[in-house]
Amino acid sequence: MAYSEKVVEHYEHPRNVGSLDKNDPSVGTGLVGAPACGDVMKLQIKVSADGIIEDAKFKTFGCGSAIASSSLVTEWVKGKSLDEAATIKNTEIAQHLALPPVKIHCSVLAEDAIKAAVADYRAKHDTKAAE
Amino acid sequence: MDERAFETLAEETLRGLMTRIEDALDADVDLRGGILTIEFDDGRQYVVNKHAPNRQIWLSSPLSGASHYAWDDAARAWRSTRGGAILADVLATELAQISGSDIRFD
Repeated sequence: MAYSEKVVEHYEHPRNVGSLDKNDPSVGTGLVGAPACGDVMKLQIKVSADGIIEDAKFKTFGCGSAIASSSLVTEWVKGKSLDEAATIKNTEIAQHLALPPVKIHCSVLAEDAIKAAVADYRAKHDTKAAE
Repeated sequence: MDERAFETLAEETLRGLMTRIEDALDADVDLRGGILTIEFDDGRQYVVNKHAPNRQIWLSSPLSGASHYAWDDAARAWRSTRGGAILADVLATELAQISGSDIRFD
């Protein structure tokens, strides 16, 4: 099994590694994965007042494919609306990175992470609106 | 389900799938270390593996991508964690589509 150049590139030069303040109302945080299986992914988005993702950060403990998948997703979501970001499919990630068949599960984790981050941001704002 | 019960059940499932696929298809079928691979001449590959920490069976498909299956005791089958499809049905449908042969797992 060999990783594609794109995976290696993201793995060696991951984009947007880091954290945003999870208590900031403009930040949505997605934390997915199970420590038992060794892959944990945290993906955060910072959303502007008009609902556009202006920044994204991730921290991933996992294999090269998991790191590349989350790195790629943080690049993809910047400049997108929340709705657009939530439609990113694991198959698109796997295809773009040419993940080997046994590794496409990592792309599912990245899709779950961005969906969770969007859901977290929305939950924060729904609560605010209800107050 | 404890890990031993999971291992037994999942191994049984993978072996059952392997036997039926080998009989039905002209493809390279291999089961080793809890990983079932099915490879077609054109290079398209399925990987079905046990994922013990989550007590799941994971499927990697060239047609539908990744999906994860947990044991449904009532249905006596592995059911997708998204959408609820049955593992054997998904495989039968997709393998039939790729190979043009009729495959049944029941």
